[in-house]
Amino acid sequence: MRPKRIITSLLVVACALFFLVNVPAAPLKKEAEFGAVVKLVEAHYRVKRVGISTLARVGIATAKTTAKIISPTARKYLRLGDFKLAIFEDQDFSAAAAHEFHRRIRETLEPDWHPLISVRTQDEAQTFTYLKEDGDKCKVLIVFIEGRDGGVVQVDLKPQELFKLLRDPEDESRAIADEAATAEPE
Amino acid sequence: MRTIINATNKLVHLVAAVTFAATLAAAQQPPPSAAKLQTESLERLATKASQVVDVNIDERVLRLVPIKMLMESSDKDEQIAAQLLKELKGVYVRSYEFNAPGEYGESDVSGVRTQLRSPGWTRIVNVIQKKDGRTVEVHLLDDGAKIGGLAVVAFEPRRLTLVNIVGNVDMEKLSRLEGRFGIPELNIGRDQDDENEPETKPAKKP
Repeated sequence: MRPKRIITSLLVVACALFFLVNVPAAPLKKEAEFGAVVKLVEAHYRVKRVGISTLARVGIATAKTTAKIISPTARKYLRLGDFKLAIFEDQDFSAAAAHEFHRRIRETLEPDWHPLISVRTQDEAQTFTYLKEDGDKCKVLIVFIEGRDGGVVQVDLKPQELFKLLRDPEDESRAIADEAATAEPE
Repeated sequence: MRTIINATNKLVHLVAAVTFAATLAAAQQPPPSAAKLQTESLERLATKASQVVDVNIDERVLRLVPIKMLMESSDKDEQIAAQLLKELKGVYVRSYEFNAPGEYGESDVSGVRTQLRSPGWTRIVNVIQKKDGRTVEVHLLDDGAKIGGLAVVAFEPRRLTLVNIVGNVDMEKLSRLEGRFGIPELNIGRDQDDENEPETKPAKKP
């Protein structure tokens, strides 16, 4: 065997060992975000979100829509940063098990997202709030289902707003979801 | 031949050094704290419970909170909360509510009990309210030099609550944390007609 070949082989082994020890398996998985969770809700419960065109057609005053069409004026009054929203209206959420849905959310979002709070009740009401660090902000993803309505919200929170969320995770999750859902459209 | 041996030796050393450095880097990840209780054994209660609440505020999340800014806040409540958070490394709450009494038992909490019997943990409070069948235990993790954490287990006929706080926390701080950060109002020792008052000395392990 030639010395050059031995050196190359050993370098390959060294590199392989280095990566084996240092590279965790999780980051190889594509980070799941808002879209993946919306698809999960649709797939698990066989429900359909309200489309933007439908919302415009029925003239819904509250903005059950996405951040892209929230006017700058409206956004000024929001304490939230950019956000994405999907709403499920008058859909049947009773057909699939809630605890199974929780398991699937965990599989989809963790470990990239940190589970802050989950609340599940027997009457199918559910709220799941996840956090992710994003520079000097924090991304918050909230999934809520209550009766025949539900939604997924992803918002950017400033540190002070994050503190409010930590101080009262259950009520504040609901408040954030409500605020995003009632923002005036452009 | 000698060149081959020398080159091989050098590379073996290189491989060893790289592996050692990588292992060392991996080992620098903080080990799971003994103060953080493992609660996977409680998960089977989730399918039986009529309401389940899980709160997880870990050190990674607490680091994102602008403690300094909050401590300078004009809001007194924000100041107090920030002061409390400064010394915490995690807050975890598990709460299970049931439709009827007897839907959970002592065996469901045996996994948590085993951890609370491990060295360093001491039961400091045991309140039994016979009237409404409520028992609240407070356990403290203290290695002699500092408090590592605290656990509250509240047994009620239709509800089981576990609060686990990691960090420097005592009974006084616990009472100030109640109602904040997902920690429910525990009312430990506040009821006048308790059968047993809170223990002032460490209690004997159950």
